[in-house]
Amino acid sequence: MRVAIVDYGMGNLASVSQAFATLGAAPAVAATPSGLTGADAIVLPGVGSFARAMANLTARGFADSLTDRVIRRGVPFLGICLGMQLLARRSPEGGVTDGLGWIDADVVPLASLMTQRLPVPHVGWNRVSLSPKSGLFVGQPEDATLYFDHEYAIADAGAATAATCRYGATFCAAIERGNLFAVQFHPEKSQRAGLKLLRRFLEAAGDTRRDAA
Amino acid sequence: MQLKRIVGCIAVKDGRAVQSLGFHRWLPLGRPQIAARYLDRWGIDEIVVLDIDATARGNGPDRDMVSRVAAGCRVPLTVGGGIRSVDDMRAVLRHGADKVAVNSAALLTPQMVAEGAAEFGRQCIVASIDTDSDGTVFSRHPDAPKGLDAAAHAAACAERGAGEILLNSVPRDGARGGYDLRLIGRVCGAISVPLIAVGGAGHPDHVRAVLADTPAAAAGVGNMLNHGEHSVAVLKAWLRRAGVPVRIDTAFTYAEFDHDEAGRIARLPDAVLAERFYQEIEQDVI
Repeated sequence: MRVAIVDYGMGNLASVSQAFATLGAAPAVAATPSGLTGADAIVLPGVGSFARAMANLTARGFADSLTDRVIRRGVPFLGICLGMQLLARRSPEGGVTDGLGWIDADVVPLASLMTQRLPVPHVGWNRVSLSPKSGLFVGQPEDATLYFDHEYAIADAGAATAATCRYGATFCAAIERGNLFAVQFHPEKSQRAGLKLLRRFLEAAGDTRRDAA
Repeated sequence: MQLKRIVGCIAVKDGRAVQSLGFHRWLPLGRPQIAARYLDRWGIDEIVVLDIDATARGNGPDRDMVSRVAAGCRVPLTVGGGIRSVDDMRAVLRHGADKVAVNSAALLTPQMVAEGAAEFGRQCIVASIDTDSDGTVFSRHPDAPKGLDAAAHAAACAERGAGEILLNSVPRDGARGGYDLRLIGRVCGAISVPLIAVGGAGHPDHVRAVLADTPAAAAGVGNMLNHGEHSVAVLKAWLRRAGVPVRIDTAFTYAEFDHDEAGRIARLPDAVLAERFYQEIEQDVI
């Protein structure tokens, strides 16, 4: 399966590529929108600040081509960490900036949600609570932990919420809506639990492509 | 409950993983990528690689070394040593690091912490601080400020944009006598970002103490993990038994083993071993 990994000058591309290669997929880094052509799945990784990321996505022509492919043509998509937040309407990180707007929610500072004082950013391994219809987490043990490292979060993605996490506040840890998948944690850095989740994404992507064909 | 992190620390000198003793003696261990791979497979939560002579060498971070380490690492990787600019940060991130640690740069050019945070996000920037026994910041760099209080420096770094503080202790480095709990507690009190405590681990109880008795989010462990099979899993089994919430995600958990006084696992009774001969173990397919 050809997995295009969006290179917008921000993400931890090497880790993400490597995780997909481990699972037998064929990851290819796409530095321009033409690199997305023919991809069976698209992954938007993310390490960086929202404003800079959105500026880079727009400058490289990715913003429109991603919306075209993922929203209009239904190519399976996985957003990771900042790559999930970019799907929201807007974020205050680095100055209020509009996101891709695929999800009807805003990004907020995690600290603004918290009812309990804990160190921020939220760094480390945490458990998640799953929505019953989540497919990404099939096969994970009850107490599976995933690696989080973020300062901002989507509080609630409504019906698209596939999992929530609690760290001084409850926030959205994963999104699933048709061909659209996104996670706030880093599956590529979550050892076996993370690889299992990426495997589920590849399976779901394979199913979606077969349905479309 | 927030799980406490066990962070594997690999000091690198001249391209080789070393055991560091008091910041002035170094015993060679081997290739850093091998150390990282074992830590990863044995269930470490995170890995920090510090190239301790990169700043003195002056030619920036060793990118190839970062690539080699990252290739076998499925947990978050923090790389420090020789970071002089945002471009250096970008280079190590592109070569597979997930976070960047700055030490000398945070002392000499503090605005770089802010620039890095603006570019890559706060969660990506770790301020690495070495301390002396009197709680001041230690640096060999001639231009570094003298007598700077570690807690004040940590707070200033966090204020500028560091998302985590990595606090090491020169006198405790490699001494195996336990962490500097008082200083760690004091620095935690001055910051609102997570702190990784390093320096002094020689027994699982030292790790328990720093995680249970201080607000530190993570314990950095170096040499203690280098000389035993499955060392990370064995340490975590001990910690979980002592009531410290840690992540255990390896196929081997050592949950049923007893430990000796040094924290090593004790031999299982013969009857248990005999039974194991015929036990079927389900293969974990990812």
